[in-house]
Amino acid sequence: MAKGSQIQNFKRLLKILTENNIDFVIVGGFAGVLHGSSMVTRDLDLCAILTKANIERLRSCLKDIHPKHRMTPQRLSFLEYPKDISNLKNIYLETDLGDIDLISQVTGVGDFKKISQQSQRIELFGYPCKVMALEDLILAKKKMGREKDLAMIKELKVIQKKK
Amino acid sequence: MRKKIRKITPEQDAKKYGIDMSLLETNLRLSPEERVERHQAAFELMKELEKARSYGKGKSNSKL
Repeated sequence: MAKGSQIQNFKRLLKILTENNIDFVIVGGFAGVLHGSSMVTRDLDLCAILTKANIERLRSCLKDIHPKHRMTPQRLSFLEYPKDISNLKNIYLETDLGDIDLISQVTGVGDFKKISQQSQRIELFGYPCKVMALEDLILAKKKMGREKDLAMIKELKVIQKKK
Repeated sequence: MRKKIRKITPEQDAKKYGIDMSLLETNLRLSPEERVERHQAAFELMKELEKARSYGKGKSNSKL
């Protein structure tokens, strides 16, 4: 379970990722929040390239926040599992700073390269970040099609019109 | 006779769905950092409410 206040946790996570040169794009519900959505999202979705080298880097920089695979009943440590990291597409973690989902591509939009090229650059609490483009976010949410995604789409379309 | 189809605006669609437009308008006046701060405060409140709800459930099941 996350310790500390949510905002402190978020800032600390940004610091860890940016200072360790992890290239990521904020996607999902949190990207919606950054664009102006009023919805509350439980986890932070990040799109990143999940090569062997990048996963090793993630293991190294996240080790102090005790990342565990949250979809495993035994909450296996991300630092040790899986042994074979050559073909991971998505990683769902719980950490001391909250739940983080690392995904290599977004259905309906594309892979990290495409998402990154089209992303919006912003600065958050002194750290440079990339956020999924509004248009891409709407496409992604449409593809997911859950009730909460449809709700966010309605907000995002209002935001899109006001831009 | 042809029926006139009225196009619904995104604002009308969102309002009809139940989206709080005043909340959305407020968010759009904030910077991304302020939006994060607002979200994180709402998230903490949601967690507290969930905790309180599970505490309430436990209490109602307890024997007197």
